[in-house]
Amino acid sequence: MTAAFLEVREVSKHYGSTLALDRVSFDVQEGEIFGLLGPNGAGKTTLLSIVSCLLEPTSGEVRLLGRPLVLGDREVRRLIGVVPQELALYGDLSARENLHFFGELYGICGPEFHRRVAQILAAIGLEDKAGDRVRTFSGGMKRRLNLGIALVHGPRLLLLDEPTVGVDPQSRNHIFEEVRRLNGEGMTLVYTSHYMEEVQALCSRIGIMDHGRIKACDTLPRLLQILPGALRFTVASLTPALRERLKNLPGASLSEGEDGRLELECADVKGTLVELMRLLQQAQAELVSFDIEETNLERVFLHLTGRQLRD
Amino acid sequence: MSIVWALVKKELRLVLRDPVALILLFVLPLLFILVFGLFVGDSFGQKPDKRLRISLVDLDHGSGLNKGEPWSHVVRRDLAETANIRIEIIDSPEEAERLIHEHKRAAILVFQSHFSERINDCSFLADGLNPFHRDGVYLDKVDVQLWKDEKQPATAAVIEQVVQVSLLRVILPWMIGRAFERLSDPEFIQLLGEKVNLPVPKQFPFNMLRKEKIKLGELLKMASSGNPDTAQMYKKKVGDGVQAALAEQFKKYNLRGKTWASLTKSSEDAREGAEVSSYENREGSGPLRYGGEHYKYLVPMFVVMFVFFLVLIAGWVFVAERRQGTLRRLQTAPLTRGHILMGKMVPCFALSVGQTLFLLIASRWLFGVRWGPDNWPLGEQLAWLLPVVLSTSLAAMGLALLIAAVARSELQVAIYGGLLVLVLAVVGGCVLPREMMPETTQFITLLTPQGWALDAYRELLGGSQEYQPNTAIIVRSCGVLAALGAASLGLASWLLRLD
Repeated sequence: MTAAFLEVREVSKHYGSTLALDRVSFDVQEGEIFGLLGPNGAGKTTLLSIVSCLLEPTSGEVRLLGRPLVLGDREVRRLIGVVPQELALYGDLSARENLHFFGELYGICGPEFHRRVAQILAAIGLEDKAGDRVRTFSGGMKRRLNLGIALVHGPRLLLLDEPTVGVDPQSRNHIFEEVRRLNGEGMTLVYTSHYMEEVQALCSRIGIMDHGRIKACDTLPRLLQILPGALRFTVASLTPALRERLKNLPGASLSEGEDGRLELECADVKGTLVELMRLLQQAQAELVSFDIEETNLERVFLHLTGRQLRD
Repeated sequence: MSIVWALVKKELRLVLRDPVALILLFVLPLLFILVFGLFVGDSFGQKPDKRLRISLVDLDHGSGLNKGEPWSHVVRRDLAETANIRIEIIDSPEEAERLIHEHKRAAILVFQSHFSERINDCSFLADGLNPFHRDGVYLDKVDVQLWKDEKQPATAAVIEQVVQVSLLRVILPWMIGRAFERLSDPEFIQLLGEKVNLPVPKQFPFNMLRKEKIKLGELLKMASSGNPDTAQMYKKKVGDGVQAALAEQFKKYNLRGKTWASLTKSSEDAREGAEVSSYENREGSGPLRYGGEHYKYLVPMFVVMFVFFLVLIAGWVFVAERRQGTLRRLQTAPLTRGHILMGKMVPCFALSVGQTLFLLIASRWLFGVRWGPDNWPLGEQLAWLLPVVLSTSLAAMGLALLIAAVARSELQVAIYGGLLVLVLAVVGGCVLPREMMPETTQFITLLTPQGWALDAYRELLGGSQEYQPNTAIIVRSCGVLAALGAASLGLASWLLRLD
């Protein structure tokens, strides 16, 4: 079995008596977009700081391509690009100057570098504003540049810490497109967010974090299976035969309310719905009301952490 | 190296694009020098001379008491020997007029060309010139003028009183001495012979003249038996006798002396430290007062003071890097702590040196401040000046990094840095020149880097054309500044947290 691209093993971090990370473990495979979903204060930024060699864990280990990450390892930093949560830009430099400066810190120069800067400017949609001072940019433009800077040295692992905070929908879409494009080119990404929709839309695997712990880590469909969905309905006349057939639906359990409302709890909502429709048609039962409750990440998060994502 | 260069380039770009930083570094110091240069007096920075200055123009070329020496010189000498007075000679009435007009002098004494002649005419005799009135001497009668600035009446009145007293001290003994000489004059004895009428003693044989009284002149004539030469001799004897008797009577005085010192027999008590100097223009010329003496003090003071304002700039640069999150981003790049520190220190040092050179060039060009004595070629001047510039900037950079190490926000930089820079500037002599401080507290200036820097700068910038700077002072100051800079840089590098 080949080693994971990024391995996080039993990582803990203490700030004095405060436990910021509690034995966090997960793997990220090469070419994957891994999402870390959690509310503010869950420990996502601390975890990314450790992965980007800015912080040393109190215990545990992180490996990139099998190589342990340690503070001061300058070579491994060349493999990592970081998009910090706060905008980290020089307002009095232009977009191009910001990109050039951060590129030069990695020792990159020459015509190839200039071409790369031009490509990034085009990719983040700032070609026309390349010579303008960054302080004149909108929040969204700054966010895009914030992402562009992390790419200037051609990293293999990109860490994005809440990259869409406070941006307009257009810039958000731009960032999504860029993330997908980079992933399409084979880049491995770790994406943290407290926006469920973003993680759901972008990430192939998701780690749910709360209070410094990974509560669950899997692909989206498997995470959704943690909680059953539900079909709620009432029929005009519920015959004992129909009740019996509903009770026997595979993968579903029937409950009946005092008001005559029926609820089928099931893991496979779509499959159960098809079966339900077939049974009602056979019994020629009239459907009076119908409501469907699908499992989503938010419900899973609530189920796992006992609180809403935006609490 | 390319990483440090990238950091340096970025830092210089940011500072040079910040108008506030540019104003603080380059415009403000020059403005301070300019404004202070226009408003402070030409004696700024020098130990204040508390003696009363009597300025005068001497147009008197006559001859007085001593052959060839005009009476004006006697008055000048008398004034100069008066305690707490210094004499300033102004070359021309035009210059004197300008100084009064510009309120630079409260009063100026002008000895006109007939002064000696008029003093020679002064006498108690009926045909002599009587220069006196109730309060002193009629200045116009002796061909003297006192030009006064109407805006400084009190000082002018003091000067007038001093002049009056001095004139009295010169004219009165002259007139008394001359009068005393007349006592042995045959004309005076003739007059005395006419005026003294004595009773004839009864036992005298010439009682046969049947006179009850006889004049002194007749007695002398009788005694000479009509021989005119003998009569003349007797008259002289009487004159000498009168003089001798008066001299005996008033023996504390020399009534023949024609000067105050001689009259009062106090010549041995002439005051020491009499000072007569020529007026020289120390104010500079043109609207910027180019070449003014005061710039020798102002330029080093403000150059040194503003070099240390680097503390604020460097502090802000560090804090801004933290605040805007770019420091974190720098740390994710393959940089060492040394790279980041050098990336800050090198541009700060370059800015400091650039600022100083700019101010020195501007001061030389605008205000005529020399970089060393005129007999030093420019290369030699620079060879001494550059180490001073570099060591001062090093000390400033050390202090700047110390502040950056302890301040966590722009406000803290402004408070810690601003206070420190201002206090050190005041203590170091950048606000009040050391020469104007009490002697007992002057040593305190050397507890600050500013004090040492000023010592070195003043040696080079503060001398006259001929002044030869004390190079030992310059070397010592540079050494102290470099050591201070290195020590504070070491301490700051140790204290500085880059997270």
